[in-house]
Amino acid sequence: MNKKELRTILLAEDSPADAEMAIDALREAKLANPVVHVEDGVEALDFLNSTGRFEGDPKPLPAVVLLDIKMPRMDGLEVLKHLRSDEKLKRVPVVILSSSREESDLARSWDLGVNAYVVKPVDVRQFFDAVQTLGQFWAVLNEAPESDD
Amino acid sequence: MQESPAYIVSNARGESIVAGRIGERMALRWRLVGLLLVVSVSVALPYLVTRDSTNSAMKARTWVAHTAEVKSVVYRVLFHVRDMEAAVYSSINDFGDAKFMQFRLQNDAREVPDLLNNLRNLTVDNSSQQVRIGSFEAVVRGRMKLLAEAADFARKGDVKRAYAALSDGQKMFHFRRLGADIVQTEEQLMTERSASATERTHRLHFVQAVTTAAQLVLLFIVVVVSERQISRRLLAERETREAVARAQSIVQAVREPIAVLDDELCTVSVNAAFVELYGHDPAREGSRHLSEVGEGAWSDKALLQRLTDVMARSRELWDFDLEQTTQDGVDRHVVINARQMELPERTHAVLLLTVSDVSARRMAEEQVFELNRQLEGKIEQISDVNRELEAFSYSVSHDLRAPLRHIAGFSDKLARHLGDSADERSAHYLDIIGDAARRMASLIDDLLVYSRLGRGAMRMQSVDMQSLAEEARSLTTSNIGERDIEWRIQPLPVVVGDENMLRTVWQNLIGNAVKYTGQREHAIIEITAERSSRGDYLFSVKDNGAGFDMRFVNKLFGVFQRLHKTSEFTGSGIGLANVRRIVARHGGRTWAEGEPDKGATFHFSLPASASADAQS
Repeated sequence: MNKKELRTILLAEDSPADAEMAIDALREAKLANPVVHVEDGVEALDFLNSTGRFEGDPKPLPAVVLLDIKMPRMDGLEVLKHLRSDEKLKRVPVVILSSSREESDLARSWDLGVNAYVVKPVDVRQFFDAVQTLGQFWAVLNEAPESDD
Repeated sequence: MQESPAYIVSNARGESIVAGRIGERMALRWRLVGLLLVVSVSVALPYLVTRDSTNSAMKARTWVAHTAEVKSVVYRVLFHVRDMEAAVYSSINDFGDAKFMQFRLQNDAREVPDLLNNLRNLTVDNSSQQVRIGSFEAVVRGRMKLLAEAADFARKGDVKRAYAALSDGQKMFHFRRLGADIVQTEEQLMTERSASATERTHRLHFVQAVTTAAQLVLLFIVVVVSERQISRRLLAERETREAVARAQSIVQAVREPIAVLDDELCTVSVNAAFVELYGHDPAREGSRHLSEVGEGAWSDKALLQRLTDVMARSRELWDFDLEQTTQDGVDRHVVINARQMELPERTHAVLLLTVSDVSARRMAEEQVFELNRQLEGKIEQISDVNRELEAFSYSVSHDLRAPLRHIAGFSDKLARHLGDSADERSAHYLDIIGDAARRMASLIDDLLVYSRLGRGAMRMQSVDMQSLAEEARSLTTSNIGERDIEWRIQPLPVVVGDENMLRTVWQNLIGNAVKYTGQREHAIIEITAERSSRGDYLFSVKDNGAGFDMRFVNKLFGVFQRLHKTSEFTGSGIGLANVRRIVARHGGRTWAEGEPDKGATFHFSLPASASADAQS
């Protein structure tokens, strides 16, 4: 992996409006890391495994995966489960970014080994602050170990 | 029928009774031996003593007769000699016939030797008498010889020589003294023997007296012992009769049918309950095989086989379930127990059979089973409802908040997009849109919290209510600035409950008290706890704040119900609804009292053993 190459931020979000707001927030934070937006869990895994529409275009592992829970085809918790059981992907930082404050969602996420769980605030400023903090922390401050490839 | 209780009771203590009887038999045998000994001694001793006494008396009499006979013989000898002398004298003096003299002499001379022999024989055991009798005999014979000479002289008419011979005889042979000596000696002997006999008689009298006394003592002992034995036997018999009667009453009073069967499973005896249920009494109708009792109530082959096994192999039958129709036409569910037992008066073991009517219990069990089934159905329904509620909440959490976020987010973006170009009215509208979205999001959050309080599992533990109240007070007062609040917090107990939930209760009640005393210069908030007579805890939070009108008290604990304007006091109106739901889940109760502008008191109770809500 080229160390100088900036790692991407993978955003898995089925809601275009939420995705737009999140991307706006990250852009506003002036992060240089590219943001890749996928609309469900299957696409997220395709990106990480360079399969499906990402086949033939291998990318370095992302700095962080921002995962919505409720998504079509494969939800965020399933994606998390796949990641944690995959030897190559198990160290990728994952942040759940969800509307839900349900105890069951929280417990399940932590049981599966999530790195952070953030409830999307309704207030737009709080939402921007939260996403920007996440981006800055995981893409800039956090030191990830060298991956195997 | 009347015999059965005794059988049952004696059998219940069979072994000890058998052992007791063996002991009794041994004691009886020893008593019999003792009694025979006493009787033998009492009869034999007097017999021996009397026999000895009789022998002595007879001997004494014999000796008296003997002495008399000796005297008689001596005197007869003397008489004959004298008679011979008299005959000689008569003949000499001539006033007697010579022939007659000769006849008298011959008669007397013939008698004397026999008498002397007789005398010798009579005193053969006494040597000194024999000596005397020897002398006596010599004297008599000498005198008789001279008499014979005198008679010869007399016959010849030689009177002188006849007198001389007679005189010589009288001078030379003095037999009177010797005869007197013999008689005296015999009398002396008789006296001595009489004295000995008398002494022996006295001794015998004494022995007889002693023997009689001993007899009396022995008889007294026998009478006393017999009397005691009889009393004890009577007492024992009375006790046995009472025990039998008692056992009889008990067995007859037992509501469970009891029957005693022989080794062929034929009835021996039954109790009243058995007669009542199966209409058979062997005491009146005679023994009958169990299968013929109660019109088929006992025809179950499996049961009969099991009972036969019990008899054959000394086993016990435990709780054999049987359905039978009894004499009253009722279908009953009974449980049979049977065991073998020994009866003292029977050579073969018998079978004790007891019947327990468990129909009511079975019916109750069936009812319980049915109720449980219904309950499980209800629980399933409740679980379904809960699952639906959870799905609903999940959907609300995930789906309902997103559009609101978008409304708020994009109205904000629109405002920024328009920037200064937006007029005042447009900006105002955008604010309202954003505020409304945020308020709705807040309401949805509140509702989700409320929903979770009703569904979530409770973690029961010891909870220090004092700490929770103090914590809630600190939290509430930390962001209200300078306020003059007088806190009166009584000691609060430790209860069993869900700490997080109870924390919410205190935060709401104390938060409300602080909020609604906001317009008081000097606020007083009083927190108390007491225990009811049933052991429940009663907590109260009293304030001197805005209070409320009791007409609307029922609305206080409703979801989003408010009794004051939002402009006066902020809040969504979910707090007290949460309090009520939490307290209810702990098995407690909530209520309030208030008066406008005077203050309000909120109460809640927790049961003595704050049992956990079964819901999860």
